[in-house]
Amino acid sequence: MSSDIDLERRLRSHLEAEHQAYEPPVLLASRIREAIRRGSLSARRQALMPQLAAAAGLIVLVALLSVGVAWIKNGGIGWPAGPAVTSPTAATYRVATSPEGVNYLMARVDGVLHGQVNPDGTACLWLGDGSDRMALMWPYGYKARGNPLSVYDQNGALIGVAGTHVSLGGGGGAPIEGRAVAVLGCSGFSRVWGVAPNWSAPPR
Amino acid sequence: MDTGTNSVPGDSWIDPYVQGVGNRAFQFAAAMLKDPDIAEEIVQEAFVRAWLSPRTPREMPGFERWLFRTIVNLVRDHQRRRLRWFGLLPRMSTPAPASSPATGDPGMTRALDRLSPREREAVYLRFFSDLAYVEVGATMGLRDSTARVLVHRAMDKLRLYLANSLIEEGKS
Repeated sequence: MSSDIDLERRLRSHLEAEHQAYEPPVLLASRIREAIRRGSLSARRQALMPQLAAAAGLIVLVALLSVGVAWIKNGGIGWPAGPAVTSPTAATYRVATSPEGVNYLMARVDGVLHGQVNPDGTACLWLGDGSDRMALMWPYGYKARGNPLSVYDQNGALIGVAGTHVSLGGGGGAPIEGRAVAVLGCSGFSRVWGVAPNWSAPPR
Repeated sequence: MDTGTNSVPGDSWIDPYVQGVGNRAFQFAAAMLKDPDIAEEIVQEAFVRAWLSPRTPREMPGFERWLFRTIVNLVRDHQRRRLRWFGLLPRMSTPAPASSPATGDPGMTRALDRLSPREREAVYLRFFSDLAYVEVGATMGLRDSTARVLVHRAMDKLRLYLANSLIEEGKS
C-alpha cells in the first residue's frame, strides 16, 4: 500500500516537473483566437508540405517506373507488327463452341467481326448489323481474349479480332422463324453460323 | 448560429474556453508529445475544430471533454504519421523534439515511455491533467471502469519497470 503511495507520489512529482517545463506561451490564447479567426492552420500545412511533396514525388516515381516497365514489355519504340493482338495473359472469355467431333459445312461468310463481353465471363461474337446479325458458334476449344476482343483456336493461334474484316468457313445462318436461338453469351439472335476449323479463305 | 468564420471569436461563446482551458490543453499536449511547437499547433487545430463543428458542446464539462478528446486523437494521428514517415526512411534516426525538457525523474521518463500509447494517455489524463476516472473515460471514449483498469495496469507496469531499472543499476 505504501509502495502504491510512493509510486503515485513519485509519478506526480515527475509530472509536476513536466508541468513546469511546459509553461504555455504568453501569446497562446491570442494565437488560438487568430487560428479560429482564420478557420485554418496555414502554419501546420506549411510544416507538412515537405512530407506531402516527398510523398507526391514517390508516387510520381512509382507511376513513371510502372509506365516504363509496361512500355518496355510492349516492345518499346518498335513499330507494331500487324493488327493489335492481345497479350496471352489478358482476360479469357468463353464463347459458344460446337461439340467435339462434329462435321462442319464448308461454305464461306465474310464480314466485320463484332464482339461483346458479358459479366459472367462469356463473350458473344457475331457478323453483320441490325436484323442481319448472325451469332458465331466456334469450333471446339476456341476462346476469346483481351481488348480488343480476339478469338483464338485451341492452339492459341489468332483467328480474328473484333472490328476487323474476317472470312470464315462453315455453314448455317438460315433464319429461324420468330425464334431466338440459344448461343452461349449471345441473346436475341435468330441466325447462327457454325464456324469450321482449319479453314482459310480461297484467293479472290 | 454563431459559428461563422467571419465573426470575431473574442465576442463569442468560445472565448472564455480559450482563456480557461487553452493553457491546460497545451500543457497536456506538450507533455504527451514532448514538443511544445507541435503541441501548440495541435491545440490550435482542436480549437478551430471546436469552433467550426456544430456538434461541439458549449457548456462545461462537455466542452473540455470534447476538446481533450480531439487533442488525444490529434496526438495519436501525429505520432502515427511520424512513425510511418520515419519508418519509410529506416536509416535516418528519428530526430528528438527540439525542446524536450531534461527535467523530472529520468527513470520515470523511461518507464513512461515504455507504456502503451493508451496507457500513457490514461496516466497523463489522470495524474497530469488531474481528471477524475469518469473524465478520463469520457475523453478516451471508454467507460470509467475501463479507464480505471487502464490506469491501474499502467501503474503496475511502472512499478515493475522502476524495480527492474533499480536492479540493473545495482548490478552495474
